[in-house]
Amino acid sequence: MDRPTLAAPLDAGFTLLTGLMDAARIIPDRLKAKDNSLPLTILSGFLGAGKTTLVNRLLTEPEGRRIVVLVNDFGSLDIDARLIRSRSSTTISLANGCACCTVAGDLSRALVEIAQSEALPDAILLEASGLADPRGIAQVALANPALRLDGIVTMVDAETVVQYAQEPEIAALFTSQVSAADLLILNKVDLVGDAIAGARAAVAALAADKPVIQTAQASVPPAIVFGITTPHDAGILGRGEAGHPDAFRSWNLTWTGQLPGAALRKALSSLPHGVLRAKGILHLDDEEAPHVYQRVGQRWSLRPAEPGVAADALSRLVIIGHRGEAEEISAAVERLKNA
Amino acid sequence: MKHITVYPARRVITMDPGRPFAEAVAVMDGRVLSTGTIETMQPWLERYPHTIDDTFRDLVIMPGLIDPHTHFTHSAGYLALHYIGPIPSPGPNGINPPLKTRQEVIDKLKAADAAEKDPTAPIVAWGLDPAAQGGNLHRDELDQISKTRPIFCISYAPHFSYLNTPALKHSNVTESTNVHGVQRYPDGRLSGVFVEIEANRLALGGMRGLIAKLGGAEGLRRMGKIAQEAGVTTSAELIFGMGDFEIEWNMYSSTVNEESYPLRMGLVTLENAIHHKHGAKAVDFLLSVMPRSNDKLFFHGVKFLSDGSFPAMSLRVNFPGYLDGSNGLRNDIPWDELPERMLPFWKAGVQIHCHANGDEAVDASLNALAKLQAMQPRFDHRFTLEHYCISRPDQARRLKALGGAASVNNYFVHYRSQLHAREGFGPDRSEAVARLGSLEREGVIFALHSDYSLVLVPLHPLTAAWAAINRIALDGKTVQAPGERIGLERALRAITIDAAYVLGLDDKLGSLETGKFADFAILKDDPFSVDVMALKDIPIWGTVLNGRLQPA
Repeated sequence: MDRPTLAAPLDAGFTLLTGLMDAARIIPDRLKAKDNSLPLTILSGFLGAGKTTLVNRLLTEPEGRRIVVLVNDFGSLDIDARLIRSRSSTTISLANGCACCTVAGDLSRALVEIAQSEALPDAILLEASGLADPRGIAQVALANPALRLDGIVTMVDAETVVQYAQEPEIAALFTSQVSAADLLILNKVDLVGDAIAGARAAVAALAADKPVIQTAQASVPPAIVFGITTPHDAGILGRGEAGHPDAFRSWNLTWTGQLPGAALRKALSSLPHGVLRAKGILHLDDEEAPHVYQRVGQRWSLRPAEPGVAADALSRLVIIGHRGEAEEISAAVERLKNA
Repeated sequence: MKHITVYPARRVITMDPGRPFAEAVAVMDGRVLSTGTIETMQPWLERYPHTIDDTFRDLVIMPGLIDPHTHFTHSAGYLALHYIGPIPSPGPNGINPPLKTRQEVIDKLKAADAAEKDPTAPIVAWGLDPAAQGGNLHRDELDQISKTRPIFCISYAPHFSYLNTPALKHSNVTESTNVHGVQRYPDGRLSGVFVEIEANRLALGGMRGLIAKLGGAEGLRRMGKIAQEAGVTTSAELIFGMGDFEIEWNMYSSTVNEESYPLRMGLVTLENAIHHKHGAKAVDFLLSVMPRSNDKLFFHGVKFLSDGSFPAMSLRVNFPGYLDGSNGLRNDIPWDELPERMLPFWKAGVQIHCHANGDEAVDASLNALAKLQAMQPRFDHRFTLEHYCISRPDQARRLKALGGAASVNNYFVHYRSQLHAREGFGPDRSEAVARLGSLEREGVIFALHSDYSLVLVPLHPLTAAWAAINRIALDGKTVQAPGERIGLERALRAITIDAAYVLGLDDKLGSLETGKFADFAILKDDPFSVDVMALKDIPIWGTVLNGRLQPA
């Protein structure tokens, strides 16, 4: 594997600008997909963190989602028979970029093709370069108005996190990847034994309030990576997943009638750190249209729902969180119920 | 036969080694008819109507300069932005100096505002590092510069944007906007500061149309002007098609084909981009677009890359790597697959340009060329190594043996060699960057180029020639690897006739000979009379393209 280089952060500003200019040239005035309709998840992580393993898992177990994955290195993916049989997901490889030319043009073109396609995907996963701050490529991708940033997921290798956080050549880039994340996946915890405490501490020092999922072999359910997009998500997680070092739990809430807008917003903005994902459709007393609530880690949005999304007058909310922090989350759910 | 115009000059430098100097050049129908004196031209002038034009009587005429490796597509919009960063950056007039303080940032924005006459025309600035330059800019501060025109500022790392009130309006951001990262003053008003992705998306979304406009035809015209002021009449885009082939084609064809556009442009297509779209039929695709070419705008060759960059320290070197033990990046295509990917173009006679900055990448590119020669031997293929920054003398010899050429970025001898002796490559390789003397000794034909504006050097061929002759480092006194210096005549060849050679156009461009295009650089002093240290400072009157006068 090639050694990392300082080129990426040095050129970040130029890359962003040229990327935005490429995007501005390539994106047509009108796209088939509606504005903010395609959820984009950025998968970040330093070289060797396990991004490709995770992408392979998500491609083979999409749990009903039609996903499009944009990767830098097509050759490293094992497109197995299951995936080909399912024909539900697509993988697009992007031309590699070096310091003197960027992947941005290729990315913008691929995203336009996706936004113009007949069968729009449920989710788009963009694998960021292991040697880049994912914010740059996210910004370029989001020049496409059809996309909505669902979240940045950064994978961290439990074996190397302590070293990378200190190594002068790497620390700045590594830190930028961790600080850009909405969710952190601390991978390879099975390989570090007792050193896990040190690895946790190193991550916490860089991202104190970010939810951290501990895992081995990049085993993370799609509902955590992509958010809650299918009716099965809550159910699957409710059972708890065998083999996950972290177990997850879901909470379901249903309300009848209009909800007090101000009180609910306050409760939603103060959900505990153990919450990984949340999604809801809410009828608020201070808004005319029903609103969609989306949450990944600490970041959330409350936007008017597209017509037809709210099937009835019921308000619903699904929360996915760490089982280990169930008590705190349950208390927050009680506050939401009584808001 | 049409009308003849004769331009007497203080001196005419023909770059035709058989008849190197003259006192006048005669032009007919956009081409050179004759060089010599008015007396020697009499056989023409007696037979056809003619005019003597004294515009260049006190000036020096030489063939229009050629920079055979630039990046107008990506520079066009970038250079339209005002730079406000703390480190040097390429700019429309060479290098933008770093701004050390917040006051310098504000002063530069004020100057940009004063220079733009239309009070509603937007200003976009980039490069601010709030940590190094006294914190974030904000709305009220920017409003003091202008309350009528939108002002957008973007930070160097893509984390912050700063907008004044008209820019907020332009981006449809209102006081009721509720998006994460849209910052407010303590009293609740929008502060014009946008932090992180979602907020920056709002801020930058409003700029999209503006950026597209700046980076489109308008930007290409600005780039043309920069080149024209440097005496350049032909250049080439070396990663054409990297974004979107047809969109980029439309941008160039609608602009360069305008009569007033001051340059000829070559388009060298990035193989990886057309391979991505057309696979094994990439070569057929490229051949199918070739007929779109004309004398002003032409498809030429194909581009491959083998490693990273010299100034960004991502090129690949041999033993023992960089000073810190690391090494750079290989590029798009695995090295052992290069010959296979190049072969269809090689067989079709499409000239191959291969980016190779470090000596390990030069080895890899030469290995690819050797394989091509083994599979199908060819003469006059003009396989060109692009940049050729860190190399060994034996590589120049091997390049000659394999029949290749080089297009060298030698500006780094001056601008970067001392820096990279300490950072990156160590003294030996850094001092010997751009071994033009070795290429000359081995008989390799080479050109000089700027790579403008992907790297921190100006687009100014006389500066490249100056660096080739003197090899003076940035301290103004140290001569770097003196044995790699070349003479004035050879340096001028590398920015005229030999640069035309690497673009496959030496039969039409690059020297003043009967039948060649009447493309001239008009200098206010004579390169053969000034002190060699003053070569880069010769003022440039402008250019002549196809017989058309283009004062800078």
